[in-house]
Amino acid sequence: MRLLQQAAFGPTAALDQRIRRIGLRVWLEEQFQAQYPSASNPYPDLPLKPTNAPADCDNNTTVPDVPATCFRDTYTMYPLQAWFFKEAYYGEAQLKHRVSWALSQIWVVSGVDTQQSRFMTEYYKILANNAFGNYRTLMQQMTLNPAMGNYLDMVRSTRTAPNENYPRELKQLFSIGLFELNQDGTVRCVENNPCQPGDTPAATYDQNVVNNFTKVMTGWNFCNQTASCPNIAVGTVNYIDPMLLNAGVTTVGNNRHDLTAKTLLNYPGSTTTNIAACTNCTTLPNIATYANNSLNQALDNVFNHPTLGPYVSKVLIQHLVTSDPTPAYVSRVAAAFNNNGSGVRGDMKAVITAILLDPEARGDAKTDPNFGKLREPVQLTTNLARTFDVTAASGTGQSDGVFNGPTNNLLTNMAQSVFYSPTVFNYYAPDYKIPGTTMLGPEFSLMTTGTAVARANFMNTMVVNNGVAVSSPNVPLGTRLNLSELQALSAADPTGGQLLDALNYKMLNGTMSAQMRSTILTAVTSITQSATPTATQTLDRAKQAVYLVATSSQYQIQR
Amino acid sequence: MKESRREFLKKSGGCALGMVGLATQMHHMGMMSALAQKTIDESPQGGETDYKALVLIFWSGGNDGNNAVIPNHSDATISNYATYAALRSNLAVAQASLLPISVPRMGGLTYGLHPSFGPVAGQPNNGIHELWASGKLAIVPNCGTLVRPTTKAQMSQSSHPKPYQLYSHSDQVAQYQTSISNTQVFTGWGGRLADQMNLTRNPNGLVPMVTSIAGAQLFTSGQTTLPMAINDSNTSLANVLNPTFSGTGATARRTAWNSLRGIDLASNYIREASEVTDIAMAANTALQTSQDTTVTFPNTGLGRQLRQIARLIKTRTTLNVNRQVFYCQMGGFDTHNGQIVNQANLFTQYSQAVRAFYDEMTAQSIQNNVTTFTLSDFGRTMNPAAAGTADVGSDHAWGNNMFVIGGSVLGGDFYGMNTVVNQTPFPQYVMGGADDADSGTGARGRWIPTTSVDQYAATLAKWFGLPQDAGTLASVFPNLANFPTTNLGFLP
Repeated sequence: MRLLQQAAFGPTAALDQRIRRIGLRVWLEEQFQAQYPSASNPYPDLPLKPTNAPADCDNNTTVPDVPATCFRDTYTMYPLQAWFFKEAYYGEAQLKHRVSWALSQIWVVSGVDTQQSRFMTEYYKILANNAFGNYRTLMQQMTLNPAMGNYLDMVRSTRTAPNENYPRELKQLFSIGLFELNQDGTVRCVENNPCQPGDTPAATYDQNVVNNFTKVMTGWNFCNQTASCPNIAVGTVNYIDPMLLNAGVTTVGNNRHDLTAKTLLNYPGSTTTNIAACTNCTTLPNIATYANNSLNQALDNVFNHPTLGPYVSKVLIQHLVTSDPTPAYVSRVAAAFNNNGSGVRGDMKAVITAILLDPEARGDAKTDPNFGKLREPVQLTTNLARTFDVTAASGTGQSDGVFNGPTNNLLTNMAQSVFYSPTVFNYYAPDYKIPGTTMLGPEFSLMTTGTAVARANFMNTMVVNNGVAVSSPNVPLGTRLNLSELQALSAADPTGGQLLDALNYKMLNGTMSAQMRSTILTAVTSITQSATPTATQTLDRAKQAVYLVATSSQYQIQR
Repeated sequence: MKESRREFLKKSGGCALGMVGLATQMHHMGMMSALAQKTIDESPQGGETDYKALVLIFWSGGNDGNNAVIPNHSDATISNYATYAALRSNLAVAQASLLPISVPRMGGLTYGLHPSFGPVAGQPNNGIHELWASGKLAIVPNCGTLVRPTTKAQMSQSSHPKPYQLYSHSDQVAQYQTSISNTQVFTGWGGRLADQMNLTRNPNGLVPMVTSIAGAQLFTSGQTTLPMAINDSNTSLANVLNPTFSGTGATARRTAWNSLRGIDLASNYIREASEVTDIAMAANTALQTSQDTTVTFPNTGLGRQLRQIARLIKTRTTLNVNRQVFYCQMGGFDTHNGQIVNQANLFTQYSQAVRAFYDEMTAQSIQNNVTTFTLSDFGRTMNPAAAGTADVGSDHAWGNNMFVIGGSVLGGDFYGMNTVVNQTPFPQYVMGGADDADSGTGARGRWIPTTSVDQYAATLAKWFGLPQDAGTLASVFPNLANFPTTNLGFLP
């Protein structure tokens, strides 16, 4: 069960039984091959639209929108959100979905600044396509992705008006972070290693490096040349094909790429640390060749930095398993990042396998007081849904996967509106420490007095009030939990014992304490259950028990 | 930690707040702080009856202060409007549109505020420009993150300590919010202020000293202080932390839900989740009898945040608090492009919301006890980014102009230290010059701050009542002693 919280969006009974039969390694191999997204839940297939919403798609009733939901489905993240939750609830390729979601919280592009869900879909595909690929390929494709290019301004960065945004975040957030790390993820200092009190952390780069990478990354723009860009559509901006150097430029004199020499990161073992000025850039094709070669050299330079492995490994461990992993755990995963056993660096399959099969992730019930992580709202909601066989509000068929509108919904109340990260720094930072402690707890920055109550109220809606009701147009089918199995257990055992046993297994990996159990039982048995129980009685008892486990601090923590 | 907290509980009797999770709550409301314990022992009455509030408005993304406060004169001896207009090119605000302010500190020269700080069609009030003339608005130009005073020459000296990761959003946000620029720390100066003052000033407070209307923020975290975080005024105070228990068995469910928070606290993460909820429930009880505002607030993100703060201030007697620190935030200032339109809208939102808040405080007759102030990630490059009027913006830079507003503010002037060039607080607009951190032909105009965040924050903290002994000051602002003055003078 713990595995299915770490490697999936929560357990289902069927998947739990299957893994017990075939074993973890076989399941991982299956997952590495599984079709994604599910055949029944393809990516939203929406056309690019003009950046100025046309009158029949602008959410303004002067001219009726056609269809009425045109604006929502085009100019908000709603279709992608609905797709995301359906894939989490029902998809077979759970691990790829889970890792892609984690990567989306490292390589952040947000619907706050990204206009159309179609723009975001292409970005998300890159995450998913590389979730089991190589980190270097992810770096390459993401650098040239137009949604990222727009979000972090690379699409506007030119020789004469350079923009540092993407080159800086590429290093700070997407690859090596601010400080040199040992393989075990501990920070290196200028004076000593390991650091002593008062030492200065060793910076991975300085402003001069940012300036030089900025030069390398000048001149790309939305792809508008038919020969290179199959997805050009008249009247729209091409957010599908990768960005193109000097797109729209017709003369060498208007070249936008910086042709001067650049200095790259210099670190022990670095090979190419300089890019020479271009010597043959007298034609646009030559400039494009020079620029693309330079970009490859710059990305290789980052990719081979010794800090990349521990940085990426630690953040992925935090997303999947535990917020404050031991240095030894980070070191073992970083070793797999640095070399997959066949001499390949950046192999994501090796990294994910190392994270999930590590002794710190597996084994008996976890008693280390610092093990685990706060369930972010996405995990809280999806884990609950899968645990209780989520359906549409009618009780049959699939949920529509939405919790109401795109930006004002039950997830928003808990501070995690999917695909609307507030900034490029994600919903929470990997180095966030819980106030008054020395513990890393990134997701805890979303745990405030306000969201703590919102979490409880979410459970009241989902469990006690029977879920999200149908509400036109944003909630066409609704969402409901299936508690029938629990009702049967309640009917079979008037003490509530079997009901609690099932929840202990399904939700808490068998960690429920005697005190917790007796506290919940008191509340459950306060509800009358006749000798021949009615369906209402058993449902009320099941709701009582599920609500109390689901809102407990014990369940807020994945461990 | 756990054992000592339980020990404390036993000694204290543990019934004052009537909550199962009392232990955890005590911890984060500051009662476990040995330092705070010492302070209360020395305090004659254990508290005071006066009231003061600091309200931080964080301009998230890095506001371009160069277009907030603009030279509006033609004095050729210092940077004037022509200097400004030449360097800003198509990012320049038209001189005719500027809202004039006369600045004693600059020899009575006229400067200009961005036009959005005045009356704007369709908005509820006249904005903040008027508060300059009435002496309630002060500006601290070229304020920023520093470890110690820094000159252009020292920029290139590796031995001279400089803020880590200049021009990086997350790091510079952290440095503004922690007031510590030489190393990463995990407490903010708002939280540390509360660590020091909670027990003496709010000994029987029913809510934490620090409240955020914009989620958990580094600024609000102390060693022992957890903030209260609540939604904006779209939710009433009575409902903002009120859990819903519906259906059959609701009473027993609520009882069990409260009890569960006291169980299994050996897991540190479980304990922390319980602590946050404990604080929420204690506050919820106190917030059931709250009051509403009378002045019209703009229905914007900041307007709603400030309105919620105004409600809390109006309810201060019920909440039994004498000191409060508030955090609110408005985003969208990372204007690498599209700055002209977007920044004007943001300034309108700021000006309208803050003026409504000031007017509401006046209506509550508490305006002299409440001060709002700004922070931001950093300033932005004088030299524009990207070309073309529609797309023009600016990049990450350093020193920035801060706004302080309140009835006690000694407004109508600039405050802060002198730049090296012209001996005024306002930077000299020369690309690559003595006030520019950049050099050479590619210099962008990133002003080296002449006033540190530490000095700015300490001035606010002194007014707030932070004890001024060296030990207390150093515990909240460890680098303050590196600077020549600890009080910039914009508050009494």
